Amino acid sequence: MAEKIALQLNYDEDKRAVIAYGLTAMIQMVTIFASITTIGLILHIWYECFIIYMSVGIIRKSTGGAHSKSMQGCIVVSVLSITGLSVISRYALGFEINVYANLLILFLVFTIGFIVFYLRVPVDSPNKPIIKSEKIKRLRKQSFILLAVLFVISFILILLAVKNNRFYSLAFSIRLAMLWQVLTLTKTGIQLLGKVDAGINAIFELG
Amino acid sequence: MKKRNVLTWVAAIATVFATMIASSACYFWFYQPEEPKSLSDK
Repeated sequence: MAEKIALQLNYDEDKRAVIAYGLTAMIQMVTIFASITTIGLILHIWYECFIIYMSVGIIRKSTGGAHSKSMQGCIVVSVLSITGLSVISRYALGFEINVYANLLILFLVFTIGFIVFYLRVPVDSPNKPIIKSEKIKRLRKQSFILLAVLFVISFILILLAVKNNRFYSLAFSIRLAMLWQVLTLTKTGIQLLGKVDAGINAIFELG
Repeated sequence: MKKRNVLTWVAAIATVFATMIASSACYFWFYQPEEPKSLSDK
């Protein structure tokens, strides 16, 4: 498609590459969003799916993390992880618990997040290496700001859950998104997701 | 003419998207294709 656009508009190779890069990002985002929306509406977990999709997506832009080798691998891993975590959030964790216990879990999850962010952020990829110290500093700063923002949102959702039970699950969605993102930043998580990605790509190649 | 306008819009939106991603650590979710040299900000 980028080739066609560049040809029609008489763009050079540089512009064609930029358009292809932007289009790939848009297609990836729209495909994942459309898939989780469909599954989310069927399983009544759309809000959880949307929270996890946005939380992980926004944090990743600063922290980086494990990467898939192909677009199809990315879409399968993303959709499975978003919907899987949403189902857990809604149907396994989304029940009334003591507000202090809920806040304790919040502190534990975000403390783990803080430690892993401090040790690992940013985690780059061979296709987009991060070398400049100013950029590393900026991304680290952004990551900690986002961590604080998500902490505050989770805190508010936990307080709202006291009045409306539906918020228990939504509050857990952010914590599960945080734990998932933390996993993708660790060496073990990167190796594990690499194996899952390789398996998915092998299945696609067979087909 | 109309087709050309649509393509210009698509190109503009894709370029804005690409530029936005250039300043971040990676794409929105898991797949990260090779970044164009003109956007590279290592």
